Amino acid sequence: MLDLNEIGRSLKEKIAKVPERDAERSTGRIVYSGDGIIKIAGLPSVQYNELLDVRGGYHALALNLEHDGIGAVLFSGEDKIRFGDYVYSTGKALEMKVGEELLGRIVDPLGEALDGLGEIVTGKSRPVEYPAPAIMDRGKVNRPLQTGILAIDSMIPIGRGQRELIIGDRQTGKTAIAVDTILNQKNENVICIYVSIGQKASSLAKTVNTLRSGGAMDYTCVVCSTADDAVPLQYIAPYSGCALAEYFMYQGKDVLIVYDDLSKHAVAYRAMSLLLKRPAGREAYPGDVFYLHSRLLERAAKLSKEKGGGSITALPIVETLAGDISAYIPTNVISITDGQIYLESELFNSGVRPAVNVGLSVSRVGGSAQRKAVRQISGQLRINLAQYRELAIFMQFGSDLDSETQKTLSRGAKLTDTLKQRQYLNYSVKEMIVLLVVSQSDLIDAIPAKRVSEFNEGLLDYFRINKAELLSSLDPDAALSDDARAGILSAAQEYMKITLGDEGGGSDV
Amino acid sequence: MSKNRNIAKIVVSEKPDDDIVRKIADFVEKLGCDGVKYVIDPEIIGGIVIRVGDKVYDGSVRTRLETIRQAL
Repeated sequence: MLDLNEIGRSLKEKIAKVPERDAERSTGRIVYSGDGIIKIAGLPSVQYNELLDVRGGYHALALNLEHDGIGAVLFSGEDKIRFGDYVYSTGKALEMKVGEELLGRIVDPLGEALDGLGEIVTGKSRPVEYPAPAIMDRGKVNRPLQTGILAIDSMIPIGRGQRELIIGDRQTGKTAIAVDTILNQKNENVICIYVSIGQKASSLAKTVNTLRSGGAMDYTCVVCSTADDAVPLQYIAPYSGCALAEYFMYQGKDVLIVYDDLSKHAVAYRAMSLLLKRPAGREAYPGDVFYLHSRLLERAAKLSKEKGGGSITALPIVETLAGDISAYIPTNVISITDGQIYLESELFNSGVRPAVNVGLSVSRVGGSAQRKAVRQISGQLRINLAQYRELAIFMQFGSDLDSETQKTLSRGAKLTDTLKQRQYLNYSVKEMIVLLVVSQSDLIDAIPAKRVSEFNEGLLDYFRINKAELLSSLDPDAALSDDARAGILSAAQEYMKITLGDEGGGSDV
Repeated sequence: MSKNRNIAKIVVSEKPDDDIVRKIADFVEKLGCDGVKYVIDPEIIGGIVIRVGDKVYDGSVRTRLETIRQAL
């Protein structure tokens, strides 16, 4: 039975802890309200980006400080406030709840729970806008962030503390790459934050289900603003997510943050700016849309040892229209980030998944963070694929090709097939080494052309079960020895005999 | 607005007694106010709200309850 005295006592204790409000506060009155924007007369000494209290328990953010009033955006209560309502200054900047308690939860950009699992009490918060780490506080990106995707980890390696853009048309698997990367951090000791900006609630629900069923929610926080949320919430969502990431980074931990996606973020900011009557620039975006994303992505960093050595790796996502990477927002973000993974719908539709365009994708800093053995064996990969693509154009002219060219073509096609990978099927570094060694050896000629993916999956199963010792003896951080290479190849040959033997194995297509 | 700048607006829940009126008069005089205007608004439940220009001194029971509601 409930003890009424006990409840009363705990309530009294809680109420006694509630701090008194400042006795003196400055006020203003609403003189205009429309489209979520309010104009306020009065309110002296208000700061830029200050949180405002509107009568009735609503909040607004002061964004325009002008000579004849304050322009602010409302987070909620647009239909409840009235002309002449009082607005109070708080003297505080916008803050986001932070803490370990947020892991496994779905929260709004102010840190309030949205998953119905109860209120989140952390007692800690960080300002949503925060300066990026200074130059002297930064360290070198030297540890890899393993995505588990062969095409990326071998050719476009990402390091902890890097900003790598994922760019492509709609339906090309941008979110899939980000989600796969989060799933792959299971035993990597990386905290993940997935920020959804203006997404459909249905797609977000799907993503969250994937993360949950993959066991990734244990180390992941989803900061969410959906398409029906007020525009200001969509605008602050990535900064809130970053504030949470910084909390962990300054403790010396490694964090991965995904911004899905920044094109919708720019659109939200454009809507707000136009309503605030700020001058419009190219594509009607305001003048500071570059700064909008640069100040966000600069906060992703690798800290120096003296500062704890933590890192924030950012994977911003940008959606292009009809593959146009020279549009305003894509070029902006490409120039801010340390490389991009470019996904193509043509590749996606022809079955190359992940649909990474290896020619246009780069990683500017990840190379030094790549595991030594992987770097050693994937060095030739890019060149081989480029050669293949060049020759592939000639394929259309029929079969009047010399045998050497035909061999390059057949190998290139199989190499491309090797890089295909099913979603949610992440490879470990050692498995990648096996695949890379086998696919670049002469053995690949013996695999039937249409069965490369199937062969690779079988090969890895064979290694996991029958050659576990060999697999675990591989050291990704040292150069691959000739012995190890020979071991892998002979084991692969054994597997070939088993699977392809009855089909007259060894003979090419 | 500028006409009323130095008139303090006092919101109370019921008509205050003379002693309190005198204390309020002293207080607003220190803030540089020329006059006092009383408004009786039972909605604030109790306490007192003093508005002078763009400043507000909110000591109402309603606001205090609202703070507690938000904090719990």
